[in-house]
Amino acid sequence: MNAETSTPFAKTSLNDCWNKIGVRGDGLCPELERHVHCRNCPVYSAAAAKLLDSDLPVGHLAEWTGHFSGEQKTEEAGTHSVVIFRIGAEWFGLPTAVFNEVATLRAVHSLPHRRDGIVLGLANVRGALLVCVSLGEMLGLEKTDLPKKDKAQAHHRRLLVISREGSRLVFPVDEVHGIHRCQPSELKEVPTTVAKATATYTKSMLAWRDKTVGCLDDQLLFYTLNRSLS
Amino acid sequence: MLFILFHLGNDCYALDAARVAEVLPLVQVKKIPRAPAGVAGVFTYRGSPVPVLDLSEIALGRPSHARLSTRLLLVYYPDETGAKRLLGLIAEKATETLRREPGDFVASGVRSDGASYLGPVAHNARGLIQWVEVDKLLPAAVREALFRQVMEEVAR
Repeated sequence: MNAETSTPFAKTSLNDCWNKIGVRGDGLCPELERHVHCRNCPVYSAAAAKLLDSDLPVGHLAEWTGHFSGEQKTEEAGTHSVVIFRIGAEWFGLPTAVFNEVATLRAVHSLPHRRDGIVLGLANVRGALLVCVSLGEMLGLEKTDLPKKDKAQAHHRRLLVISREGSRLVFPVDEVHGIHRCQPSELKEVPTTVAKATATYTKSMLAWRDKTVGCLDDQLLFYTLNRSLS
Repeated sequence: MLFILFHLGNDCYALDAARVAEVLPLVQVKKIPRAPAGVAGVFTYRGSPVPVLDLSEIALGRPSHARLSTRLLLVYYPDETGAKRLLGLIAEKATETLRREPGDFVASGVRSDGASYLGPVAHNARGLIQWVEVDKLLPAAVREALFRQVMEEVAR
């Protein structure tokens, strides 16, 4: 905890042993053997209770009175849930419902006579051999050499397992953010300037953090992929 | 069974967590003139008025300290028709929960006629914990008068 964040409680003298001999310090506290982490230690919770025993900050009462007097904001019905992932430099989203799991990257065994194009080969996921496809290839993304920074982030790479109407596929991605919930109103139309191949598969655009996520049409995606397999 | 712990003075008391709808931070409570002792007043919760009792006032005769650890426990409370109503309880040091079987609590052996809400006791590392029964916090007459008074106060 630095000086700025601790100012509200500066008046309370506190022995922040977790910063000195605990997990955020040198880790030499003998109690660590028993509690493993400071958050399990009674000294830590006692300190938290001590902080809560301080006087109310200015404006606290008024703020919370106002907060609870109003109607509770409930989430709008029909929210979308997407899993956001990155391929190359672009971020994409697919409906959470089509995902089976996020697996670690593993060897993909190439198939004879299928050395180019969308199909990368077969991957073993929990004993099942699943067809591994390249979403980047299908979407016509430019193959860019990883920038130097990204090479260090190679451990972010994952295999995503998706299924729809009985067909299961895996595809590698460079990074997975996780599940994101959004309101239907947040989804924007795809601008016509987006590269053609990507635009075909992109249903809508979603502003997420400082980036734009292309939400893919899962139905069309599976249709195309299944066709390219046969 | 889960209990919410709080303090009355230096001692620890427990409330059945199943009776608690929500734990709120301390809020501004509008006083009600000539309300029964222990009634801190009323506050607006999600658009409707909810009466608030101060547990320290009821048990110790002094209002709770205004601290961050003093919280407002919103409990379900049956009114005269048996319908569930919300009631706010201001409790000091309401920062912990405790998981215990009801059988761990035994009769304290001391009966206090003025405080029938005090139930059996259990002990943990830090001492005895006494079970506070929400339904018995107010005599029935006071309870009915309180809910009625709150409605009238708001209608005015």
